[in-house]
Amino acid sequence: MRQEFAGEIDPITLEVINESFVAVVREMRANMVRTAYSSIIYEGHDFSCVLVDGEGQLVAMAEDNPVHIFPVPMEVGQMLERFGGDIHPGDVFIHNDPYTGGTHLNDVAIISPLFHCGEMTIYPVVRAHWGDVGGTTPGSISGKNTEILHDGVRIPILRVIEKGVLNQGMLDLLLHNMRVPEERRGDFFAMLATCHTANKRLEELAAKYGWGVILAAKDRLLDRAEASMRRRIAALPDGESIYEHFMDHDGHSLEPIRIRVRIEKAGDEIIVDFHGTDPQTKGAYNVGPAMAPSAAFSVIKAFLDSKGAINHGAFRPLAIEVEPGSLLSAQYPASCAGSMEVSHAVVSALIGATARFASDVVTGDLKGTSNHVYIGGRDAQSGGPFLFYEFPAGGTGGFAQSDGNNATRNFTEGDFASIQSVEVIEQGQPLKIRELSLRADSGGPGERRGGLGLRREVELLAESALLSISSDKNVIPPFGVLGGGPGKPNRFGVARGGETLAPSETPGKAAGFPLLKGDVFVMETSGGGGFGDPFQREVESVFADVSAGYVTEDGASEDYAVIVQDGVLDEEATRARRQAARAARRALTLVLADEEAGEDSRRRCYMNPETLAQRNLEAGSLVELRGKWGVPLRAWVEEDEGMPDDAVGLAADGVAILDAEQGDAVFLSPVNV
Amino acid sequence: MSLIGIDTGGTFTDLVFFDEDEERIVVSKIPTLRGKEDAVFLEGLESLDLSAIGRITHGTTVGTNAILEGAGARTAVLTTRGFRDVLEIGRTQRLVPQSMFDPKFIRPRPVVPRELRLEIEERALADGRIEIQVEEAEVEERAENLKQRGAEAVAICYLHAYANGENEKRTAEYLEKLLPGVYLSLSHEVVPEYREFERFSTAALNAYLGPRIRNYVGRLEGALRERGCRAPLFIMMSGGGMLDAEQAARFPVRTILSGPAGGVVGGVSLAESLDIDHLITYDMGGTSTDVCLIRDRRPIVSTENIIGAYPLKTSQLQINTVGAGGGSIAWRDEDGALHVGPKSAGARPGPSCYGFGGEEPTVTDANVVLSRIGPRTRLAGALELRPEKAERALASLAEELGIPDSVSMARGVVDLAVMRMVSSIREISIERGFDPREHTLLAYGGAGPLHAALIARELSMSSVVVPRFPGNFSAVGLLMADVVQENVGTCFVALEDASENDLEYGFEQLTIPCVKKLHGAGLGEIQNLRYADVRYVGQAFELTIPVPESKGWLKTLGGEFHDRYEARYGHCHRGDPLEVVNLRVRVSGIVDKLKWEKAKNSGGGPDDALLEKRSVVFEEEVPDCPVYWRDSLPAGVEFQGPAVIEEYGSITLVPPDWTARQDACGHLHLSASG
Repeated sequence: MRQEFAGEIDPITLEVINESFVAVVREMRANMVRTAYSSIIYEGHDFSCVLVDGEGQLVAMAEDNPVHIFPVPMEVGQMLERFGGDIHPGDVFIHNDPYTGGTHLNDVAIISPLFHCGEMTIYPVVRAHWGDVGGTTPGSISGKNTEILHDGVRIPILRVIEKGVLNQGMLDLLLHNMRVPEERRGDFFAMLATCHTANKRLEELAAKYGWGVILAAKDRLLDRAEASMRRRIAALPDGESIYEHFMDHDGHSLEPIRIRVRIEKAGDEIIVDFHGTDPQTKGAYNVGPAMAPSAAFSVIKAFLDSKGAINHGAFRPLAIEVEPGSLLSAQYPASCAGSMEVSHAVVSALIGATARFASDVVTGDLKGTSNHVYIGGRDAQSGGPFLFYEFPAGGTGGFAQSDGNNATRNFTEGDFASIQSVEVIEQGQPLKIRELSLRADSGGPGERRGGLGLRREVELLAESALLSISSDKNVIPPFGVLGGGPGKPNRFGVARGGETLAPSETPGKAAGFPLLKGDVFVMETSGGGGFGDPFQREVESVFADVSAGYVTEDGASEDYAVIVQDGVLDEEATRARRQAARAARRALTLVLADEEAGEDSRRRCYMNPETLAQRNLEAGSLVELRGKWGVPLRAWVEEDEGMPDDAVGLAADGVAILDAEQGDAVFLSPVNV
Repeated sequence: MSLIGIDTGGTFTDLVFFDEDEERIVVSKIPTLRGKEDAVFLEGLESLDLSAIGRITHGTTVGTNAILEGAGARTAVLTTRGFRDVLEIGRTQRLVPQSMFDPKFIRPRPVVPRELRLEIEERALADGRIEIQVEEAEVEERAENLKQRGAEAVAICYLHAYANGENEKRTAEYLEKLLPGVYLSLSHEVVPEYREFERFSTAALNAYLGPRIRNYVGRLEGALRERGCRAPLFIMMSGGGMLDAEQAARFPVRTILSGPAGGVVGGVSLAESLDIDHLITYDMGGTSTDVCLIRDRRPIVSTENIIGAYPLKTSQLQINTVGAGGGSIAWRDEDGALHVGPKSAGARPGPSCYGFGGEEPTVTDANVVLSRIGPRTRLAGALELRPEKAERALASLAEELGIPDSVSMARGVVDLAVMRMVSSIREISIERGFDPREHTLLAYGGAGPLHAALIARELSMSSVVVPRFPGNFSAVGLLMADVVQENVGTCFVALEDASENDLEYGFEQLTIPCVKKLHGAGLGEIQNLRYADVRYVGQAFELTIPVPESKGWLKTLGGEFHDRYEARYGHCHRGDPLEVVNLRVRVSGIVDKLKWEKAKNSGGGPDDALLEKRSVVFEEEVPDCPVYWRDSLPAGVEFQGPAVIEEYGSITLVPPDWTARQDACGHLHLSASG
C-alpha cells in the first residue's frame, strides 16, 4: 500500500485497518463454528473471539457473548502478572478460574500472544463454553452446587504450550478430569487452530502496513471509542444514584439476596460501585470479579452508545468496584455454577441505577435469569437416555417508544434459540408439547406495556424422568419503571391429576424432581416490566391488546382501568373507572426510620396497622416505593405502631435510593407474588 | 424464435433480446419506477414484434419489496389448537443483525397479527398418525370469522403436516367453498419439511405475497396476450431455476431472490462455456452489491434463509448482499470516522457528477475525480457528467476529514468501498472454508468491472472475467435458466436400517409429480438431481448430500456425509450412527438458451478501439492512459494495463500490473501479471 507510517494515520488507512481487525475476528468465529466439538459452541455459539494488545487491552470483538467482555482483559492481565517478562513467541496460555477473571468453569480461554521484535503486538484470545469440565454432574453446571470443586476442574493461568511445544502432561491431566475427554481435546485444538489463523492474518496485515502503522491505528481506534464514550457521559447530568436489587434466594433458604450498586457520574467519568452487596452465598449463585463489570458495562453501553465499537477505549471512562468476598467477587471455595443468574441480576440493578441519568432510554426490567430447564430420563422405545434442555426467554421491558417484545432474548444476551422446535422434540423424545403460547396479562402494565412471557406445556410420555430447574425472579418479579407495573414472575409447575405441584420448596430452583408418565410440566416465563403510568395508556391500545388476547378483559379492568365486556369497549365506564382509580391513588409521607438490625438482607419499610389495613397490606408482604427517578425500591412491610398515619418509614439509605427526603410524598404499591 | 429477459433492478430495469436465428443479442436499460414495475416491463417491450417471441423470463423484486415494506395482503393463519403464537414466538430470537445491546430494539411482528391467527381442534403426531381429525363445522366457524375480518389470504399451518398433510388438505377443500377467491397456502405444500416455525413462517409469507404476485403476473400475462404475444412468461426463482407464471403465483415466496439469481445462473453458464470450475460472482449496482460463490460450476444453495426477521425455508442461492454500490454516499460520523454507504444517492438526485442536485460525494464521484470515469464518458449511455461537481463534493469531505486534496480523498473512498466488497467475499469464501484464490471473479453490474481488479488484488485472486454486456448481465442470465421443479419429503430413517429400494421409491414419489408438471409444460428433456439430508443421530442440523443415480449409492452415503462434515467442521465421527431426515429432488426441464455470438472483427490490435488518451489515477497518476471502446476491440486482442475500457452500461479498469484479453465471444479476461 502507498502509506508509510509517519506518526499520523490518515482516516482511510485507519478505517481499512479497523475493517481488517473486524475481518480477523469474523474469520475466527467462522473457524470456531466449523471446527469445535461441543454443540453449544457450533450450534449455540456460546463463545467469543477477540483481539487484545500487549497490555491486555481489548482491541476488537464481534457480536459476541457480552458476559465475556471483561473476563478477557482480566485473564490477559493474569498472564502478564504471573509470567511477565517470561512470555515468548510460540507460548499459548489456558485459563478458566472464575476467581481470577473467568466466568464459570465451563468457559475456557486460550491466549496466544504474537510478537514483533521481542514485543507483544496484537493477538487473539478465544473463550468457549466446553460441554463438560468435570465436577458433580454431567455438563458441570448445577444450581445445587455448594463449592467450586463441584463445578469441575479449575484452571489457573497456565502455559499449555511453551515456545511451540505442547505440555502434553498438563493437557492430559486436565482432560482426564472431564467427561468425554476426546470431545474436549477437539474443542481445545479447534481453539488453538483459530488462534493460529488469527495470528497468520495479523502477520499478513503487518507485512502490508508494518506493525508501527497497525499499532498506531489501534491506539487511534481505542482513543476514538474512549472519546465517543466520554462525550456521551459528559452529556449526562452529574450526580449519584443508588439502587438495590434482590434475587429470589440461593436455593438453600428462602432469604432474598441483595445486590447494591452506586453510580457516581462526574464530568465525563462514571464510577460503578458494588459495595454493600451481600457476602458470597452458600449455594451456586456467586461470580468472580469479572462478571459484574461485564454486566454493568453492557447496560451502560446499551443505554449510552448501543451501536458504538466495543474496545478498551470505551471502558476507560468507567471505574467498576467490587468487594472481595461479596457474591460479586467470590472467594474459594464458593461455587460459581449459577453465575448467569447473578449476571442477569446485576443487569437489573444497573437498569435501576442508570435510570437517573438516562431516563429517555430506560426500559422495564427483564427476565433476570437464563431459566435453565432439564428433563432427563430413559426412552422406553429406543431404550436410550434422553435429555430435554431449554432456557426459555421472557418478555422484555417497555420503553418510551414501544411496548416490550414478547418472548424475546434480552438486549444483553446473544441471539441464541432458547426453545426447540416442537416437531423436533416430538420426533426424538418421549415428550408431547401441548401448548406454546403467549402468557396473557404477564407483561408489566404501563403506558408502554412490558412484553409477554411464554407458556409451554410439556407432557411426559415415558414412564418417569427427572426435572431440574435453575432460575430466578420466580418470587420477586421484573420491575416496571416510571410508574409502570411489574411483569409476572417466572413460574414452573407440574400438573398431575388435576392439581399443580411445585417441583421444589425453593421456587425456580429444583434438582431431580421425579416426573411420572402423563405429568404435564408447565413453564411460564416472566413478562417484561412496564413503562409509565398504565392509566395513561391509550384506551385504543388497551382495547387492541384485549382483542388480540395479549391482555384479558379482567386484566384490562384491573391493570388499566379499561372496561371491555364480551369484546365490546365501554368508553363511558372506562372514563369513570380511570378517574376513580387516579383519585384513589394516595401518596404516603416518608418518615426516616431507624437502621434495620435484621439478620437477613431484606429491605424493610414500616407502617402502622391502620395504614396497613387501609391499603389492604399485610405485614411481611412485598411492596415497591417509587423513587424520584421512576425506578421502584422493593421492601418488605413491617408493622410499627410508632409510625404516624399515612406514613411509611424507611432507613436512611433506603431514602437515599429513592433520592427523597423525610416528609416527601411517596407512592407505594403492593407486589403480588 | 427469440428470447427476452427482463430484470427489474432497484435503479434500472434491464432488458436483453436474443434472436436465435441470427444469434444476435440486443440490450437496453430503462429507469425502474417503484410501484409501476409492470408498466416499465411493458414499455421495454414496446418496440418489439411480440408475435415472434419464444419465451420471456422475468426477474422481479415485487415480492421482496412487499415483505420489506410490509405491503402484502391481509393474511390469516389457521393452526393447531395451542399453537397460534408459534409465528410470533419463534425460537425467541431477534433474528436481526446488530440488534444486541439495543435496549430499544423492536422485534418485527409477524406478517399475520394475532387476531387473524385462529386455532382448529386437530392434531397429527410425529409418525404421521392423525390423532384428531379436522371437523368441517369448526372450519366453517373460523371461515365466517375470517370473512368478517376481511382476510384476503389464509395460510393453513398444522403441526406435523409434513408427515401427513391430510388435515391441511381437508381444511383447504372446505375453505375453497367457504371463502371463494381467497388465496390459500398450505404449509406442507410450500415446505414439506419438519420444524414448524420455519414452515409456518414460510407458508404465512407465501400467503402474504400470494394475492399481490398473482395479480402482478396476471396483469403482465394479460397485457402480453393483448399485444399479440403467445410466448410463455416465466419467473426467475430464488434457487436459480424458473417457473411458469401460474406456478410462480402459487409459490411467490420462492421469488425473493428473483432479481439477483439471474446473474448467478448466467455465471454458471459462463463457467461451463469458458471451462472454469470455480467462480465468485460480483454484481455491483447503484445501491448494493451481491456476491455468490460457485463451486464446481454449482452455486451454493441453502434452505436456511431469513428475510427481515422471518425465516424462509425455500431453496435460495446463497447470495451475500452489501449495502454499497456506485451511488453509495461517503460521509464522516460524529466520532470522525469515514463511512461509505449504506445511504445511496440512487438514480435521482444520483451522484453529484450527474448534476441533478446531489451534493454528497459518492463512489461514482470518487471514480470521476480519479478520471477512471472520464469527463466524456456517458454513463448508462446517455448522461452528460459534471466532473466539477464531483470534485467539489470530494474536496468538501476531504476538508472535513483533514485530508490534503480531493484526489487522496477519492482514492480513500474507493479503497473503503473495495474493502467492504472484499469483506463480503471473504464471508462467502474463506469463512466457509473456500480459498478465493481458487476462484475467478466474475464482475458485472454497472459498477462491478470498475472495481473488479482492485478487489481481486486484495484477495490475491489472479483472474477476473468481465462478461459481455456486464451492465445487463442479470437479464442475460435469465436466458440461461432452466425450468426447475423441486420437491422434498421428510422421512427419518436410521442409515443402518435404511434400504436403498425404499429410498429409491421415496425419490420416485417425489420426482413423478415434478416430471409430470414439466411434461405438461411441453418440456421433453429432463435432468434430475437427488439429495439426502443426513445428520448424526441426536444432532439438530443436517447436511445435504448429493445422491447419484447409480445403484449401490446407499453404501457410500455415510462416507460421503463424514467427508463433507469434516470439510465443513474440521472433524467427524466415523463410527457414530447416522440418520436420513429428508429426501430432495431438483428436476430440471431443459430449454433453449442464449448463445454468445462470435465477434465479427478479429485480428489487429487494441488501437482500433482507442477513444482517447487521458490522465487516470491508479496507485500513481498515469498521464497517457489509453481509453478503449469495448465493442470495437477485436476478438483475441491482448494488451497490458493501464487501460480503461468503456461500453454501454459499464466501465472496466485495467490497472498497470494487469493484462486484458478479449475472447472470441467478447468476454474480457483480466489477469494479474507475474
